[in-house]
Order: sequence, then C-alpha cells, then structure tokens
Amino acid sequence: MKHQDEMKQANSKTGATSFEREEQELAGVFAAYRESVQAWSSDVMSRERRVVVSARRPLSFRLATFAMTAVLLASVITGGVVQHERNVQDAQRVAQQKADDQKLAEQKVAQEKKAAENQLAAQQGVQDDELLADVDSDIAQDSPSAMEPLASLMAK
Amino acid sequence: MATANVLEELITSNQRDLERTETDFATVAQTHRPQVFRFLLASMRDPDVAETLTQDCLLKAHRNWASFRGESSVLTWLLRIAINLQKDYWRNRRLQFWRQTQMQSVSVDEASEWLPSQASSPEAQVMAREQVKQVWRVVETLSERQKTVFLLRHVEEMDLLEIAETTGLNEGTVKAHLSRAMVKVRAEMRKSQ
Repeated sequence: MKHQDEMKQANSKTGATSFEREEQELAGVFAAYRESVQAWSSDVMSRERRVVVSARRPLSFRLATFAMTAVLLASVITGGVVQHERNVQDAQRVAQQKADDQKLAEQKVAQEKKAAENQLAAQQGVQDDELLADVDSDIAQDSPSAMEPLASLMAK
Repeated sequence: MATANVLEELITSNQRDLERTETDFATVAQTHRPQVFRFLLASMRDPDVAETLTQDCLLKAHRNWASFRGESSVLTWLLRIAINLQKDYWRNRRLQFWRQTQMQSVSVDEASEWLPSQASSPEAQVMAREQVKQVWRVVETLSERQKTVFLLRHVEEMDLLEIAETTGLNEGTVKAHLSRAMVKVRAEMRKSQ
C-alpha cells in the first residue's frame, strides 16, 4: 500500500515536471520565433529601398501626347474606312463593267441573229417570188374551151 | 483693428495646432511603424506587401488622426487599421484571382533563416531554426483570425484585453481562438519530437 502511494506520488511528480518542461520548451520556441520575426523585420526595414518616382510630365506635354494619339488613331481609323470604301467602289465598278460587257455581247449576238434571220427571210422571200412566178408561168393562161364565151364577154 | 488682431491670433493659433498635430503624428508614425510592419510581415510573409500595407495604414491613420479620441492606445488603433487593410487586401486578391499578380511570399524555410541572436552555437542554431520553421508551418495552417490572435499574443506580446481591443472581438472569443491555435501548435510540436 505504501509502495503504491509512493509510486502514485512519483508519477504525479513526473507528470507535473514533464508538463512544466513542455511549457517551458514551448515558451522557448515562441521566444525564438518572436526574435526571428523581429530580426527579419529589422533586417528588411534597415535595407535601403530605392524609390522610383515616375517623372510627372507637364500638362501641356500630356495634352499634346493625347492629341497626337487621338489624331493618329483617327487617321488610322479613317484610312481604314476610306480604303474599305475604295475597295467596295472598285468591286462595284468591276461588276458594272462585267455586266455592261455581257449586255453588249448579248446585244451583238441578238443583232447577228436578227441579221441572219433577216437574210434568211429575204432569201425566203426571193425564193417565194420565184416560186410564184414559176407557178404563174406553169399554170396555163388560156381559158378552157368550155369557158370561151364567158371569157370573150369579159374581154368586151 | 482689434478684430483683425483677434483673427490673426486665431489663424496663428490654428497653424500652431496643425503643426503640433503634424509633429505628434510624425512621432507616432516613427515610433510605431516598426511594430505595424513586423505584424504585417509575420502575417503576410511578403516584405513588399507588408511595406505597402504599412504605408497605407499610416496614411489612413494620418487622415483620421484628428478624430482619434485616444480611447485605446495608439498602437492598438494602428494595428486595428492594419488588420482591416490586410482583410481588404485578401478580399481584393480573391476577387482578382484571374490577374497574373504573383504573391511574393517568402517560403517557410527562407523565413526561418533569421535566428535569435542568443542561438550562438551551431547546434543551438540548428535547433532554433527547426523550431522557428515548425512555428511558421503551424501559423500557415491557422485561420486568418487565429493567426492574427496568435501573432498579436506571441510576436507583439499583447495581453488578451489588448488583443480584444485590437481585433474588435470580445475577450472570450480571443481566448477561444488563441486556445485553438495553441492546440494546433502543441500538436505539431509533439509530432516533430
């Protein structure tokens, strides 16, 4: 019984000591961490920092730059638009030219066709006249004998 | 004639007040700038961002210097501004995730290079570096609020009331956050032993 009590006391003592030791260690770790952060911070703060100050241009210079940029932009845009318009006009002109050429060709063909038809018709007309003349010549002009009295009456 | 004199006196007195205020603020800024910067550096691990936010903090403080009523200490007030700026910074970064701005955070290993001056022997230096690295690693895993509370407690050595004033939380909440942070730190330390 006495031995057990002694063991318990020893255990509790050891437990308390280990807890205290752990706390002490932790406090030491935090102190090291704090000092480390402080050392880093001091080091960064003590470093020379180069401040880059961008030279602020005078108002007139900035205005001139703005105006030039605007003019440049406007001319680029206008140039583009003008070029586009020109391209469209050229394309229209070419299309118109093509259409005119085609129309002329069609007219020419039609004229040629008409001329050929006319020529054919003329030839046909001559042929008809000739045929009629032939027919006239072929048909006997004398009236048959049975019709002779009537023919004489008409001649009178 | 008398009115002119009174006016002149008033203007002079105002100018004097203004000059005094400017001098006061310059002193305050000079005194507390290192602490504000240190807190932001520990929190962000990015010297450039910490520097920028420190400047912003002092600028904001300067603008509101006249309205500072002295209900809390100047450092508490400045750190509160710094914490709010830090929150804004993270919020903006989250919104600007598509931008190709690279965070220049220093790695844990690099951050652990700065050692306390007491660690003189090589063994002590190695041990201290390892311990500091572990703390940095744990701090990285903490939530934003836990990290703030932890840093204010263990880097700035503030007590719970001061932390509560700085963060705008009540003391109980501060205690809870600190306790959770400490549980994580202890667990990490035990894991490494």
